[in-house]
Amino acid sequence: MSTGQEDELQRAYRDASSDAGAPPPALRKTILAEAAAAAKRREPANDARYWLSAAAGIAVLGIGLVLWRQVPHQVPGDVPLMAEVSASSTVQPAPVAQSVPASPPAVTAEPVAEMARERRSADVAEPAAKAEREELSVTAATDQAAPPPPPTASAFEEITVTGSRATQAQRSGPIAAAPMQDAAGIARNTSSPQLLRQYFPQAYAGSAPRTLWLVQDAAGNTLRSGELGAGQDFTTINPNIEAQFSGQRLGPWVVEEVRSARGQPIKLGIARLQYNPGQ
Amino acid sequence: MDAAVDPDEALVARYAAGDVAAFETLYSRHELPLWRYLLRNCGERGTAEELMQEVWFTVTREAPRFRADGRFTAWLYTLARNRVIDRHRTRRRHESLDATGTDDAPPLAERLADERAPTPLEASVRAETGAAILSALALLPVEQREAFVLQAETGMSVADIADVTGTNFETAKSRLRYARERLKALLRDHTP
Repeated sequence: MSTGQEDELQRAYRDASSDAGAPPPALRKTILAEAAAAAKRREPANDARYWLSAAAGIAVLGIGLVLWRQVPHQVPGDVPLMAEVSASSTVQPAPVAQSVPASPPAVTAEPVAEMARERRSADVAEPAAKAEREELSVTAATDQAAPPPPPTASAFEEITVTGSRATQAQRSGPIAAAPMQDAAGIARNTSSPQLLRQYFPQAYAGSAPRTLWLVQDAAGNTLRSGELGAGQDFTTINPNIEAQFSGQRLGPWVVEEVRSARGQPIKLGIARLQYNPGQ
Repeated sequence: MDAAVDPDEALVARYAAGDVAAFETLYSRHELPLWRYLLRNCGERGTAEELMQEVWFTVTREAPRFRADGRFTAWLYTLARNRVIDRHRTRRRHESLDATGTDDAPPLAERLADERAPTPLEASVRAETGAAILSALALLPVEQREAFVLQAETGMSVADIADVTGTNFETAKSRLRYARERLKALLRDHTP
């Protein structure tokens, strides 16, 4: 396409098109001013100081994030504290099997507040046990620096929650002055009968055989408690418990037969959460 | 490095790095061809000015993202073409490529005669030829006119025209051929 006629065609067009003139000088000035402004706006991205400050900002954000993650946060749906649980005085059925479709065992639970009230009434009838508990409460009072329990999940709020967090909530309430309220301290220093009285006062005062369980952390704080149904085995609740404590697995169940106040046999299984390096 | 011989792509890169003088060189190099392209395709000086500003503002904004292996001219006229199309769509005004296309300028024949007609006869011939070619251009289908103006204003290759207009090589070549045949026929009628 470079014949003489075509060159002539383009030349004729250019001659005719030159009437278009040029854009107004003001437009040229505007465009060049915008070009300079745009280049200036981009300057920070080419400036080493900009990158240094940006890197410093990112570092500060990272440190803040790490610090934030170090602090435990309670989010909506987290397990309730004992003070919250104490507001309910009814024994709730175990909805574990409803929450997890993988046919977990039915787990009955007893709200701790109700247990505490019943325990106080039982104290009146048992001066010897009361003296023993008062002695234990001294131990608990000197053990307020107990480590917090591991993070908990919220899928099974019906299961009774105890431990240092619950204890702290109790201290601020009207029951706080009463002896035997530091459940964590007691749990670390009590035997199976004491645990039974502490966490299952109804069962302890009852006249029927029971199969009960406690889950504790490595420090001996009781984190979960409940009762097995007829024909259920302790290990059947392992998946439910471990699902609530991600990163940890449940250790072996130590089962002990305890006699209730009325001499009825009660099986009490205790298992401790252990760090699971596989997760 | 002498800016006058820098390829467009190098000037864009330099401007993206903060060299405003490189942009001024680039602008000076493409100002008039782009202006005529916009004016020919818009038909109104005011619209052409708006589009001219939009296109160059886009260049200033997008220069850092311009691909080093791309052709600046193709990119520039693609930006321009897209804005022309957008303007036509929004205003529902199609095909307003009048020969002169200016609101306040004197008629083409008069200006041609004033500017470069050494003799009354030559001026008359040029004016007639210029008016004829611009009139013919205005009658061309928009795709053919666009291809011809791109080549006449920028010296673009057929491949680049195809790239800018979003078509394939053969289609662009055909559009150019039809445009030329039509214009040549008109020129023959006006050549003394």
